[in-house]
Amino acid sequence: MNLFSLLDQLSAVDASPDAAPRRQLLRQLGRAGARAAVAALPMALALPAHATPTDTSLDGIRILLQLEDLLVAFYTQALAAPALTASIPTAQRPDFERLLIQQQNHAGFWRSVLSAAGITPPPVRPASGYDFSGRRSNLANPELFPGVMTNYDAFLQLAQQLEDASASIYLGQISAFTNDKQLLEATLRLQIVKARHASHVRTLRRTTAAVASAVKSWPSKVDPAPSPAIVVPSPAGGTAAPVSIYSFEAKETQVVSGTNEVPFLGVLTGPTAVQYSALSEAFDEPLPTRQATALLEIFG
Amino acid sequence: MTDLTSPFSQVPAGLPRRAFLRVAGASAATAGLVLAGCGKTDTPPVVNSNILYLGSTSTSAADVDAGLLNYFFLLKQLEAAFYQRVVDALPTDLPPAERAFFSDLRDHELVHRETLRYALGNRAYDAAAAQPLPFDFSSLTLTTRAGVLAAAQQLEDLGVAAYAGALRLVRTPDLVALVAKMSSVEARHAALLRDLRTPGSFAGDDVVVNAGVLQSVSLAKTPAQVIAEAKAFFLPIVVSTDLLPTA
Repeated sequence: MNLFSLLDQLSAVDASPDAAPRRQLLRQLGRAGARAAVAALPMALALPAHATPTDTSLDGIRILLQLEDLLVAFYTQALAAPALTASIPTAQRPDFERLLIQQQNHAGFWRSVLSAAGITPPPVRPASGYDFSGRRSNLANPELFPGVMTNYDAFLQLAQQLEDASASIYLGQISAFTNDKQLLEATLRLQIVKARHASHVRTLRRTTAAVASAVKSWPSKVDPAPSPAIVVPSPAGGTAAPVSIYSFEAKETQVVSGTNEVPFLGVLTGPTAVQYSALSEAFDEPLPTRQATALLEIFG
Repeated sequence: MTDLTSPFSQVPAGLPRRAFLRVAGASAATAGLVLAGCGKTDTPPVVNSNILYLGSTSTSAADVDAGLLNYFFLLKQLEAAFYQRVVDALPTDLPPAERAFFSDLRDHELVHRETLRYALGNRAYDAAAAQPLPFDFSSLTLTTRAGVLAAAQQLEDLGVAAYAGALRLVRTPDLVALVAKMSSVEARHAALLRDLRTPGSFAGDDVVVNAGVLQSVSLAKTPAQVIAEAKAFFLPIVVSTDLLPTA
């Protein structure tokens, strides 16, 4: 696995006598974010001075770019898979082409941020370097996701999980950009597009798959669980069994700060009563970095 | 205050100094409202008849965040009221399979609205008001499936663009994270409604930037742009975003 390591690159730069010190490189990244964003943001007037970027923002970019590359490979493989494309309804092929193009542009955005900071982005790997069967490119391994590139239902089910996970992985990295308003804005706006994608794939599963699945357009506790499901390490750590990405979505409480929990059951009563499932449906939840990284490594 | 025409007419006199609902104008015909974190002065910076000012002249993080959260809160109140209206009288041509969507949408918006209201606490612009701000939906056609879907899509796409354009300005990281989780579901709503109207339009070029460095990120609108598009719903109140931060 050709894992892009930003920190490796940074230490390599440090080792060179002529290179800017690492700290300087990090500052450049902040400015690069500003440059990239200013060009297109009507609201970015009178930009405040940047707080000093941290390792955190670089780590965030690394994960999000890795995610975008994975999604690009997924749709690239799918649109070139003869058996699968034969089973995709003609009217829906443009949807997947749109998903591919938009995620290519997302990957391109993150590469441009790195380039503008003087950091060589990781090369685009061929789509064939990813294995969406879950065998990790080794036929001796068990096939975790059978038929993904031949069967439309299997493909859609994995697509749903990947798109839902994408929206959640973006949510999980927002805090990496707290001190850089331009990159924060870009991240929030990219996240929104991920959520639109995820909604659409769920709508397709509900309405057109041969095996109709009664999933809603947002993760819900009443959705039938995907099978096979993508599993990631349990937040409990240790030897706890891996968990579905949807275990994070099941959260039914929200805090406005610290332990100050919104008293849903107290305020949503009488004429404002809601279905209980709405408490978790109304919020998409972040996928923590550890789980996000584990998910990305399943496929390549 | 003896103004019987204002929904805020029951606001008691002698509001505490830190109150964020400012009711001004002694005449019976006016109710100028300023949602300000008036840390420095008891006098609202501008007072006009029937103007609801979102935001504050204060630049403290707490006051900036209160202004922005009130902006999101007002939009959530609008959406929740809209869906309540829809589910109270569903269009007769709405297929059964689609009725459940509107029940969910109404529920989600209520959850969002109450989350924001709780986060604001006594800084909610209407915290001291006897009744919530009424919204005027007379510009919409809510008796047909087509009319309801068109209106819902307009509101959801607008809500998404509002988050895209202003959430980064919130200073408290925990609040950014919380609102982003709602923004994500708002985007799912918008995509569903778009797909119901035109299959495959979930992330069309009218809601996703299609040129430049930010190609394929969500369209964003400033608070002023958002309020301008929604102004008919607030009449006769005029909502001003002049005191919200822009950067």
